[in-house]
Amino acid sequence: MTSLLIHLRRFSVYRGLTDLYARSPLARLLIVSVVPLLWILGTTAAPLAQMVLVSFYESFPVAEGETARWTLANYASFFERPLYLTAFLRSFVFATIVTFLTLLVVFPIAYYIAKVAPRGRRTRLLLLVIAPFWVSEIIRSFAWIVMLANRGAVNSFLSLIGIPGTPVELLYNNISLTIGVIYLTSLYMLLPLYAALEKIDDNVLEAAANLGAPAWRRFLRIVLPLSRDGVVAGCSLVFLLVIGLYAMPQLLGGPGNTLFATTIGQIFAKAGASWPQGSAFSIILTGTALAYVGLFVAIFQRRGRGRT
Amino acid sequence: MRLRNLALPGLFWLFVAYLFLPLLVMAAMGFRDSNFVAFPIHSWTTKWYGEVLLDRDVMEALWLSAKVAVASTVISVAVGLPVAFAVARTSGIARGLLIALILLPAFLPVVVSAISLRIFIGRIGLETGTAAIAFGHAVGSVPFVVIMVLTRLNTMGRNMADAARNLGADDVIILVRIVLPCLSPALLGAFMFCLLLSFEDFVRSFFLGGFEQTFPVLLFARLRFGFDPGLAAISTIVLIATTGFGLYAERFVRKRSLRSETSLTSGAKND
Amino acid sequence: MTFKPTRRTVLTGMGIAGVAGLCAPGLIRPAHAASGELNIWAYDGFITDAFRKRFEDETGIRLNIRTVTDQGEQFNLMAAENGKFSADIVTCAGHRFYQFIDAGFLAPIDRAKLGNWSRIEDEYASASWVSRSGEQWGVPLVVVSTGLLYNTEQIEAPTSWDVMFDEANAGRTAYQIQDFFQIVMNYLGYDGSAATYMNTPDVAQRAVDATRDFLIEHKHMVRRYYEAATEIQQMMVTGDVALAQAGSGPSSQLIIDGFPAGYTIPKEGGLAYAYGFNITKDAANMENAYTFLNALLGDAENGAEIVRSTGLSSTIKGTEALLTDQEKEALALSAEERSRLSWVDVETAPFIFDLIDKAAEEIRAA
Repeated sequence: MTSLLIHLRRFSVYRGLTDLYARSPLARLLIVSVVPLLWILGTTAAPLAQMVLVSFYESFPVAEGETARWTLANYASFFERPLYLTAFLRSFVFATIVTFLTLLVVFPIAYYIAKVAPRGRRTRLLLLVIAPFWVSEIIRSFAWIVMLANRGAVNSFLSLIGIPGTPVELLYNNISLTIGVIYLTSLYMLLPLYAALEKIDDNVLEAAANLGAPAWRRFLRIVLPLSRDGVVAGCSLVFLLVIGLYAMPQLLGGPGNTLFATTIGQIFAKAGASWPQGSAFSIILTGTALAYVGLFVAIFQRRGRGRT
Repeated sequence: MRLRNLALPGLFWLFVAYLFLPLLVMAAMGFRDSNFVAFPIHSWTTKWYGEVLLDRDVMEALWLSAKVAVASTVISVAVGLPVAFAVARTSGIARGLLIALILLPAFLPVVVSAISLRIFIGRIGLETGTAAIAFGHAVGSVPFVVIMVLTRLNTMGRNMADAARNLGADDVIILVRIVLPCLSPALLGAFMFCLLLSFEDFVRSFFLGGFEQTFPVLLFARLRFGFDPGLAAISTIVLIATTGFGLYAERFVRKRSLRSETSLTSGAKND
Repeated sequence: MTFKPTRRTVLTGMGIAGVAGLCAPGLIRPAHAASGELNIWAYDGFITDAFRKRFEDETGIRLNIRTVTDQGEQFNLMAAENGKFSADIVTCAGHRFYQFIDAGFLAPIDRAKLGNWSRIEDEYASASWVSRSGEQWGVPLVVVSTGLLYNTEQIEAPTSWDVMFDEANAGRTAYQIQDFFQIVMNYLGYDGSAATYMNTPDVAQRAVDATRDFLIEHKHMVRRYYEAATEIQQMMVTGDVALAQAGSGPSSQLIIDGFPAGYTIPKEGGLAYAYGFNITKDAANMENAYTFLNALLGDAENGAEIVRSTGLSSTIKGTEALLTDQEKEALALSAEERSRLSWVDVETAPFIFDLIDKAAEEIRAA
């Protein structure tokens, strides 16, 4: 590969191009940023602008031969009835709790793979843990239904070993929903945590141990601060993922677990002129969620900077 | 002390059990001789697994999904890498804004972004179908590539690149010989993540697809009208195939990196 | 000399085999010698493999079929296509297909081109739900009823919707809010079709509010609000639910599979509507679309195949004679039960569904 590149340097065109690239910082910035800028404009800004536009329409699609009429009613409808606000707040509380639980569950797992397991086996262990995610989200939801149902795997096992009071109702409540959602989110927590923990120098941990620091102290003073980036990235990712979930809460949740994303999904699922309201609600949800996460990231990074 | 040494591996294998138990139950359901999935299994049959393997629609959908996954992953990495380089050169508020804008597609409600993309490809004259799905998946994946590459770039010193430049290397050589190898763990992770995201995606494939359907689209359509053991069987087969492929690829990469490491050290000794 | 594979040859071999395997479906796909194509969005099971093969062989028209799952999905897709519809035939004629008509997505059916219209059972062909503004907008293919599904081992054959609100069954019931809502309106003595409320919107609103409050009051008894047919089947089979408002399709599939289930239309009534095919506005393959619909209606055998693949009853004349006794048993409703069904009224639907949709959100959020 290198020899090919050295060979390439004999050609003046190639030399001219690379020299131009190297000479002017402006040219360099232009060359490097043209593709990204086009991409961002085309794929993010344009559809987003479209959605913002639609959210102010009275109806969409605009009927043939008519011009669009503008309105604020789609946004106003969010505040008109308390039910949207309830679902909205429920979503934030739920997502916050689930994010924290996912962190608790996944941290030791990531730590084990990145630091404790023999080096040669790490990738394989990681693959093992990632493998289940090749099965579709919906199939995994149904797998949990088969596990937790009244006549499911868990209840069959409980009655087999003679536990009285079976079947226990395990499905369609907060517990089944949380178990299912953590099943889904753990990957998104695992990868950033693994990446962050893997970077921590083993020598630092060893030195601390040799100096007599107990395990919990090493964890609090070294592991946790050094993996802060991973924790922040993982938590942000998981939070935003959970806020947007709508298929799984629908399948594993009960009558009392309606989340805001499900509400939005239902607005879009119903045929007819529901796009404007759906778009407006999506903007409200996305905007608030991003601000919430942004605040979280800002607080933790400032605290991190203050400490080091 | 011994107990403490066992605690972490214990937790790990408990977690693996949590991940795999439902899937094992699902695999067993594929052998159930009934049109529905439930306990107990009174009589067993291999008919579902057999049917699925011969089902032309399933195989075509899997093939399309594989094609789309590879294509969209290549696009995502090809776009995400320069985007990450560009972001790495900015700082301050501009950087924050740029990152927020880049990350947005990953967190917009996917129905909304899929419908927007459908309207958008109509405007630019792209037909629905394989190319459009691959494009749509890339839109969703680029943010993850950027994040992973950027995290790695942040930890990478400039020293090596500067040293190489002093030794007369041009930017392309620096990119190929220094930057990319250093990024390889991040790129490998990004590759896997993109493949996974694309293979899982239903909503974007649905809106951007034509009459050929990706695997999740086919699965959803069938699931809507009944969850028979056949669907459990397909999922199990996909799980086994992808895990097998992953382990094979890991082995392949490990052997190769081992070989190149030894050749590097032996080369150094010869000098 | 024995051939001993080295690691490299095995790897290369596997690589080649892998690539060949991946390419194979592309190679074996037949070149299409068709005299045209037809693009259809259909529900799973509506176009059976057997019919598809017969049709393609006889006419040379190649069918491109995309399986869709509900009306909202198709509506969003068509709205995004912005007038240049990729499908010639869609399957939106359920109880909400007025929305497709009003959005200008469909073309009215030209009866002169559809010679086999007369093959549709008279009671379905003349029903109000296919016509709007004096035109026919769809070809009904299967008929769906919504009634009461129950586990025969746990529940004595019920004759009234009372059982859904009986404390003894708390935690064992499920329903789809929107579909059940009209039934409950009738159950409570209001007019679920809203035909009598058309000029008195405030009366309609009061009826909807009262029904909503009744359902919220009994919310604690509901195990789950479900959406898709699969979910109710799964909940019955795994024993989480013993009673539910459900469609005839999923119910008869359960019964045919041998599950101890019964399906009835209670005395306060149930709903009925039809699924069928509609032709899109300015469809690119309009002629082929009519050829297809004529062929589909032309043979009762097609109807029987659809019955077997979907568990729904067919609208094609003579289908029943082709079914086995067991199939008939699972599908048949008595004449008395049939008389309790009320057909979804397309003219009043926009009015009442608007109110019901809002109420449903409130029930869900309560």
